[in-house]
Amino acid sequence: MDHVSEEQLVLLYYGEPGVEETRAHVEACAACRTDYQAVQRLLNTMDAGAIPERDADYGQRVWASVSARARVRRYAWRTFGALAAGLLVGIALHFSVSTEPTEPVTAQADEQSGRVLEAALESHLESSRLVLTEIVNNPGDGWSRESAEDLLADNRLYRQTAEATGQTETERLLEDLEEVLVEVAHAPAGSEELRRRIETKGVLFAIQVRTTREGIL
Amino acid sequence: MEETDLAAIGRVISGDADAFGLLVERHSRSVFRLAYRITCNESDAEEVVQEAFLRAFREIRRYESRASFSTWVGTIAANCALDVVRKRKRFVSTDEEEGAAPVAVCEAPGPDREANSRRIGELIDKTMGQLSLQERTAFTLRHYEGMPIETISKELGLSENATKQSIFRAVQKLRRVLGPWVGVVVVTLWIM
Repeated sequence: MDHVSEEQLVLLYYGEPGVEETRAHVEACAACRTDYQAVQRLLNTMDAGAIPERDADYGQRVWASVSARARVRRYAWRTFGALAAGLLVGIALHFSVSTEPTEPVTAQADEQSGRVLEAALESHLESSRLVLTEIVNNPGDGWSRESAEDLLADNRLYRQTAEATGQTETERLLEDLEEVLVEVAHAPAGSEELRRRIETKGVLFAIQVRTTREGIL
Repeated sequence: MEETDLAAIGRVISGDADAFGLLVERHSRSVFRLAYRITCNESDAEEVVQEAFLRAFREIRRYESRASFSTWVGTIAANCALDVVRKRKRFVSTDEEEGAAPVAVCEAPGPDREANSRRIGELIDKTMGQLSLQERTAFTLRHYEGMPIETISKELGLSENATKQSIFRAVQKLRRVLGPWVGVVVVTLWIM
C-alpha cells in the first residue's frame, strides 16, 4: 500500500467505516504514523476554541421563552380553527334553511364540511387533551384555567357545527367536553374536586379513544 | 434517580408539556455551543437555540429513539443555524463571505503556555469563522457532535463525497493556520 493521504488520516481519526486498511498501514509505517500524530494533535486542539459560556439558569430562560412562543402559536391555530368552525356553522345553516336545495350540492357540501371539521377538530381535541391532562397532573396551575376559557369558546362552535352537520358521535363528545371545560373555566384554582370530576367524567379517555381511532395521535 | 430523555419525551407526548422543560434545561447549553460554532455569533446562536427547541417541541412525535435526543435536536439546530447564517449573509458585505484570505500567523509563538493556548483559541475561532458555511457545518457536526459522515450527508442533503470534501477542506485550512501553534503546545507540555 502507498502512503496514506491526509483525507484517509482524517477518516481514521473519526473512526469512519472502512478505515481498517489505513489503520494497519499507520501502525506499520513510521512516516504515516508521524503524519497521523500531527492530524491527531490538530484535531485534539480544536476543543480549545473560546465559546461564550451560558450560566446555570440559561436552560430555564430558554424554556420560559420557548413555552411562551409555543402557547402563542397554539392559540393562533385554535383561533384559526374556531374561525373555520364558525364558517362551517354558517355554511351548514345556509344549506339547512335553503328552500330548494339540490340534493347533489347538499351531499357535496356535507362531505366537504365534514372533512374540514375533522381537520379543525384535530387541533382542538389535542389542545383540550393537553390542558385537561395538565390540570389532572397540576391542579393549581393558573395557565390551564385561562386556556380552558379559550377552549370553551372554541368548543361551542365545534359542537354547533357537529350538530348542524349531523355528526352525532362528535357532538356527544363535544357536549361532554364542554361540561368539563365550563367547570374548569369557573372552578377555583387548585381544586382537587375538579381533578376528580375530570377523571370521573372520563372525557380524557374518550378523547384518547377518538384520536387513536382517527389516527390523530 | 434522574429521569432519562426518553422518559421525559414520553411524558411530553402524553400531554405533560412541562416535561419538555427538563430536556431544554439539560441540552440547551450544548445546543448553544453547536449553534455558536456554526453562526460564529452570540445573538444568532441564542436565536437558533430557541427556534430549534420550539421546532423540536412541536415535532416531538416525529422523534425516533434510534438517535439520541441530543443528536436529534442538534440536527434541528444545525439546520436552523444554516438558515440564520444564510439570511444574515444576504445583508453583509462580500468581504465576510467565503473565500476570504486565510488568517496569517502574524506573531512568533511565545514560550508561555497559557498565552499560547489563548492565542490558539482565538485562531480557532477566527479560522472557523473563515470556513465556508458548508465546511463549518459539516466539520462542526463531525468533530463536535460526533455525527457520522453518512448521517451528516442525509441531514444536510449532500452527497457523502461532498460532505467528506467539506470536512477535508476544513481540516486543511485549520492545519494551515494552526499547524505551527499545535507543535508549540506539544513542546511546551513536554518540558513542563
